[in-house]
Amino acid sequence: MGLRKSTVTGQAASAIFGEAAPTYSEWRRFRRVFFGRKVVIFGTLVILLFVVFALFAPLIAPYESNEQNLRAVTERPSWDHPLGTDQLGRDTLTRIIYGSRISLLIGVGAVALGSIVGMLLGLIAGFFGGWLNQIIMRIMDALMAFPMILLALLVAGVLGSGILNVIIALSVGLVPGSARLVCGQVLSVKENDYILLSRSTGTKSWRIMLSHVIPNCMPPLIVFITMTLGGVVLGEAALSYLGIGITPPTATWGAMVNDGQNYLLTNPELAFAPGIALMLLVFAFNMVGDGLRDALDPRLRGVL
Amino acid sequence: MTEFRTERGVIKAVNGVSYEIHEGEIVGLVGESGSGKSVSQLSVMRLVASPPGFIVGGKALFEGKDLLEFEANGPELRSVRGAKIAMVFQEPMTSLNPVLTIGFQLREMLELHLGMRTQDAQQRAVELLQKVGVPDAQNRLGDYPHQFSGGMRQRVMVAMATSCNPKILIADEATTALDATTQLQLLELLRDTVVRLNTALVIVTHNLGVVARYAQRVYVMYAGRIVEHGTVDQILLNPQHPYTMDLLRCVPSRSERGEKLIPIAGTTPDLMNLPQTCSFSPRCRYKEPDCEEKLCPELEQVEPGHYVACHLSRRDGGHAADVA
Amino acid sequence: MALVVLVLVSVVVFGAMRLLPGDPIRLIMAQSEIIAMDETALQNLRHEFGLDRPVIVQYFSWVGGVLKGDFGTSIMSRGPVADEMWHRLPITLHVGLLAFIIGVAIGIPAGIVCAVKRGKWADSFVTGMANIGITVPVFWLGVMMMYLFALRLKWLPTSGYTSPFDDFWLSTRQLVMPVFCLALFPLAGTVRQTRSSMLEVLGQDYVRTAWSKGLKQRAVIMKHSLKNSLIPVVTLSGMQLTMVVGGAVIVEQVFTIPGIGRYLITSINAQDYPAVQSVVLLIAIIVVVINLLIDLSYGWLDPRIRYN
Repeated sequence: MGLRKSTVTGQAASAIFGEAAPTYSEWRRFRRVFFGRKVVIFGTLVILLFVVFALFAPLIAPYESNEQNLRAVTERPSWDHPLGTDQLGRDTLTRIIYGSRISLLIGVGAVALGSIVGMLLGLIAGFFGGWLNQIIMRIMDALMAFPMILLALLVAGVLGSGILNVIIALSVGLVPGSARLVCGQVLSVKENDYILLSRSTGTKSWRIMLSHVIPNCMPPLIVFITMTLGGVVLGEAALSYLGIGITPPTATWGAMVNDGQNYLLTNPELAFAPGIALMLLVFAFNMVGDGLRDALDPRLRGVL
Repeated sequence: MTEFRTERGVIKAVNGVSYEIHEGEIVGLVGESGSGKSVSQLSVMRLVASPPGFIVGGKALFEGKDLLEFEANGPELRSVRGAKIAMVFQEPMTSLNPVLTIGFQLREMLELHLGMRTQDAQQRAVELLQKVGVPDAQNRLGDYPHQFSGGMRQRVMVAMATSCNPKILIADEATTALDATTQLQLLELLRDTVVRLNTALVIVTHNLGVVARYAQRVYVMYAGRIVEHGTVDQILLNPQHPYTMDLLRCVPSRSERGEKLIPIAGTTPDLMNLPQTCSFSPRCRYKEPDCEEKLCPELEQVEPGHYVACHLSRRDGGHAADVA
Repeated sequence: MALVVLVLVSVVVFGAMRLLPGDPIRLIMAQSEIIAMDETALQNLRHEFGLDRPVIVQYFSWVGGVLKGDFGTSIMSRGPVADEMWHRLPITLHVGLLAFIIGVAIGIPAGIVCAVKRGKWADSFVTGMANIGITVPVFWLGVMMMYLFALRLKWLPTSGYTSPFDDFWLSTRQLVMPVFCLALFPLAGTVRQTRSSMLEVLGQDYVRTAWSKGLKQRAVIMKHSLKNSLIPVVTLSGMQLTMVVGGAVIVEQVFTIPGIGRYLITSINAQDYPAVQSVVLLIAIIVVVINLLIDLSYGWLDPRIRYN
């Protein structure tokens, strides 16, 4: 049983890790290190929970996402409405469940977009070198100097609201980071001797690029993704709080906090609950990120 | 006895090492990488990084007191370090603090242990640098380590270590990272310095040639234990332990031109899973069947001042016949 | 180098505004007013504001204006944007700098203590707190604090800003919550980075040499390790100062503080493009200056860089 498992995972691993696919014992070590800390397990469960929420919201939530019940406005928590209702009579718990859709969708979307674009830029800059490299890197430097929120604010302000625009807005801040990372990898791999070997046997350049460089980028890129996911989710919430980005009546946690701010004295849970949800999700992402980092390469973590 | 506790197991780095050193003596501690020679010295000075290293047994008696009993980094230990026992490390590149000037690093010890004022310390620092052969010492005090070459940096380390006239100087592979010419210069410097100051010197190295030239007595280490010790003549001319003999066979100077150099077969043992039996036996050319059954050999005297840890040392007066 | 960045940014900002769909006349007047005017009047306006000139010329004339201090005219207020910014910038600087200084002044010592007492209770506690500190949403924390301290306990005012020169005590009370919220993230980040950086330095050979010289723990840490561990911390601090700028935008909104950040949001929502353009440029300048200072400080910290 053990042997079969290693063959299958070995092939999958080759796809991600390139030539040196981890052996079975390395997967075991990965699992042991990754699940070794309770926080990491907790984080993974939380993420799973929210994913379930997002995917199966209509089945889980007690009410429709925007169902208004004007006879039950701003109610305190009760059996009917475990977290109370807001100023339009919408059930808070339902909105939190639906809110996870936005947070996860935008979070993952923005990170994916930012990483891919960054990776492409990094590949181009690193591979072609010379002045193209300089230009791209300078632009990246300029972008990196800006706080992500500001960038997102601006892009969202310019593009307008809507899920896609928010995703684009948030991804902009991530591009320089991933571009730098990938470019660095490309440059260091270019120096390596086995590239020369491949070249001398006549393999085409871009093939070398794909088969050697990309797998090498994976671990740091994965770490990068996990580190930034939390920040992006927070960013989306901030944007919604400020009223820029996702428009009502879509349920987003940030907007819920903003609405709730007006009812602090009477219904504090309106603003309280979405914040807790946010914190849980971001915390989960951060912890899982830490776990991944430890499991993939403890050296990346620095000193514990 | 020092061990390192890691995720995968406990590495017994130093597993029963006993040696003594007298005033003004030069002692060589020889062994290959991983034999535990550096760790043993670090343990004496309580400089082992802890975690993951732990000193789990033994005594380090200096001037009547056991260093291992002192409070870690406490005032007693601190008064010994630097002032009475000093160390020169292997890597000149990383052993000096890159953001502090050489002058500052030299003065520190003088001000701390000898209570000198800054002016006096400054003056003394210049003298120290001159004695170790750093040119233009006066102006170099304000320079930073990266402005010196490797050999120069080691000289500075020597200056630092000897600044308070310690009783014992430990040179832990101090020359390994240098090129051959610089090595020689540094060793000569060390010898001159310790002779001048009547300091005892422990030369930790894997290079028998160094030991042959400078040491008065030699300890040979393997896998965390001392396997043979004696005067330098005894060890070189009448080695009793198979490991020592093999080591000598590896040294070019000892062979006639044209004779083959014979490397030692096998690899170093896994320090995590040390056998209870003689740890050298898998590679030993004189191995007898019961060598892998009896417990680890103890040190026994072969001639006055010469001890060996080998089951076969008693038989036929040793293996002197094989060495020639 | 910094200049290049600034130029790039100005181009991007300018270009972004021009890329907006619709008539560029919207850059000067509100949509409502435009609809009310007839075509000839609009044409005259366009000419008057130079909107019919080639874009490049427009760009340079804008830049020229900026260099003279003229940031354009706000659509909302019909007055110079520069005035609005002039009033608001010091406020933001006040809050932001205060938050940053607190973050660093507490963060670095805390990080050192954690590194030295690694694994012990103090370390676990502070590190745990720091980990939480980077997950908390700034705006939510602001709202929660407002609820607790202002509404429930009535210790602090909910919002507003007073210059410390006018009424120091009131000013301080108003600032407690916003500054705390703003400082939390840099504080947490600094603690984590200092700790990890210090731990790495403490494992270095030259620290071992320092121990071998018989130095006291205090000397080893303060004189030998600190400077070495600060370099990554400074880099991070630079990033965090810029994040403070970003966070200020949010905090100002929550606590209704009339700073640059709030102005930016209001402008975006009102589609007051000259204002948005100018604020962005201003922030860009600030960010670039910060980065420059960071780069300069490397030379002071690490002699190796200085001599190359």
